[in-house]
Amino acid sequence: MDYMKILDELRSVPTLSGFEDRGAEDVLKLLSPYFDESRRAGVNCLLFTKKCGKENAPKILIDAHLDELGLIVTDLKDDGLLTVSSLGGMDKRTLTASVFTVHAAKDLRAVSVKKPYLITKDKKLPKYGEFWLFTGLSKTELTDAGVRVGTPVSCQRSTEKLGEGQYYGAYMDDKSCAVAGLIAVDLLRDKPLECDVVLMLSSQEESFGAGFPTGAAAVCPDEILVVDVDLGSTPETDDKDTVKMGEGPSVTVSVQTDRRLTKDLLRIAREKEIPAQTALCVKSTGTNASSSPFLLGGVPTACIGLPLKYMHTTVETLYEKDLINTGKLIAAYIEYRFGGKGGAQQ
Amino acid sequence: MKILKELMLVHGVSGRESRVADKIAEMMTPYVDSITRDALGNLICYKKGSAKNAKKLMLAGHMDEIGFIVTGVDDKGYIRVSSIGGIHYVSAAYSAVRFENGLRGVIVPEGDFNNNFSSSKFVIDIGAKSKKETERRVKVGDFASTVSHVEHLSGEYWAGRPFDDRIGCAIMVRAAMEMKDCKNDAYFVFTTQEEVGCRGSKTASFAVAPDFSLAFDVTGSGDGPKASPMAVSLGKGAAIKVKDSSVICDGGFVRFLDELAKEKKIPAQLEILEGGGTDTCSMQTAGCGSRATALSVPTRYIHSNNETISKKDYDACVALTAALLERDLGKERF
Repeated sequence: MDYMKILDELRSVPTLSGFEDRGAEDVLKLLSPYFDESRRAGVNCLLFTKKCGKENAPKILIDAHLDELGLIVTDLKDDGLLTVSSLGGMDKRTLTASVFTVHAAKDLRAVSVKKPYLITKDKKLPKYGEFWLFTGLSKTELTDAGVRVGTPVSCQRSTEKLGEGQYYGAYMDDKSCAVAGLIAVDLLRDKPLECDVVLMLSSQEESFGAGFPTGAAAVCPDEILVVDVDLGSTPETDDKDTVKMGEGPSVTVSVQTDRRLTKDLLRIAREKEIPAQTALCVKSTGTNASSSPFLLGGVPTACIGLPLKYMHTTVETLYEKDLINTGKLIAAYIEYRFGGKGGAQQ
Repeated sequence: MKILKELMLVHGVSGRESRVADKIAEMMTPYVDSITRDALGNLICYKKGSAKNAKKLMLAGHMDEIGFIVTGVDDKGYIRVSSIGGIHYVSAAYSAVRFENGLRGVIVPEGDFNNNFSSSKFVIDIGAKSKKETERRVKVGDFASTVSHVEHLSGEYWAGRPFDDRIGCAIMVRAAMEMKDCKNDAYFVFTTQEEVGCRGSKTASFAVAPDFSLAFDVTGSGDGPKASPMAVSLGKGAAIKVKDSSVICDGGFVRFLDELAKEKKIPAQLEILEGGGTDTCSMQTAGCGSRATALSVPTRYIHSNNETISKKDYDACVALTAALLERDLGKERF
């Protein structure tokens, strides 16, 4: 399985926060071959299940969010410019002088424009309502093309390889983690398991979180591994706020995550010599794991982070080896916990 | 407007909505199969659908209004208050207020009126001579709101309070009256405590576990004096919600309502509200989730004593809701 190719294909499908259904069919087609069963559930979530074939088997849920950050059209001006608001929260530095795609009846290319800084001398971050999308089309042409209040807009999706096995591009967050889940399932392919493994691609993590609780309620899992990107260190950041790039997935220690699961993950990483690191988010993980304590009476949940630089920009950058090791750690945990002939569960 | 006016004049600050519930129960009785209330005070009116394998459609409008709660009485007999919901202090200053038991007073800022707005700077004067006299008539925990009223401006325009959200309740009542054949299992839920964090709708939608949900509430408009830009105007029809600051609505359901409005020639517009949440979010995430959106009435000066609406938009919401109830949602493609 060419993991980086699948990541590229997955990233090429627009699944903007709240508009995941538009890409659902494509994502289902892409990932279904690797699972026994796939379906939609909850609010725009996709569930992919690898079954162990045993009745009433426990279920472990791997959650990665499907949704992406973007913009939403709030008005069409008479001169054809589009005003927009935020869908999730993109890094504001990327909002102007960028290329976007307006997802109407067909996709339209647009550039984001602002009054020239040479005239305004404005050096502040752009505000919503004070920059526009320019498509070169008139208001009538835009209306005919199906552009309306509420049409979603996404960033440019191009990707390139950098040095040391690093890749950049928009929407590594959180499609890389979906691929990490896929890698885990691929590694477990021929292993006897005592559990069903469900990969959930949840909706709206970047906005209102409607996907995770509703999708998980449709599964009723016994354990949850939330996989999301984690802020990677760059030369100008502080170590206490970030995790190290290229040194494996992070396991989050937080009041919102389960002690036993967290400890087991770190121990297994040591035993199996999978690089991993500890991340400390005392109060909140800032991921879907945050709503777990309130889910279905509480489900033991761990939060695994894939180190990512320049988060929420169009040049999100990750190491291929971190991606592979995240998959390896998930697989190693599931095998330890629910492996055939007993596993730790008995 | 008669139903709406009647509902607006009833007292019902968040947490104390029972009077509004009584009134609505009286209005709804002839049109539904059962009426129940839950622990949070939500009024749940159920009408069985005529379709085979009917889908569950939950409609929700909140009964509560913003107001004040008594926290104490000072030495001179003025009443200290805390706010319930997002008070519009400019509008509240020097307004007449009414307590649950009908007692009248005026709410005033302490000292000279400056721009320092918060409930701790506001007191209610009920014209009492002493602390003792006030304490005889008012207790800690009593609820008050600025006095309700409705004014006809001209043409289709009306002003008053609280349109938020008795107009949502009125739309649901009128839709129940006007629908000819209810195809879906319809739950008309009149919710409590929306203004303090959508609390009623959370428990109600947990109990109902709907397939489809539609909230009814007011929304802003871009056509007020120096209003923040918004592609919603009074008089342009029912506003179908795409997004607000609590929810991104189901794309399929939004499209369906938009097309239904076109088919029935009901004026409608699409709405993105950048500040403010609604009961829509609770219904979307209840249980395994539901397809959710909202119909909003464009409103100027929300939470003031003179919220202003167009009757055309109100009528359009009623017509679109009745049309929705008559469609078998189990047979539609989303």
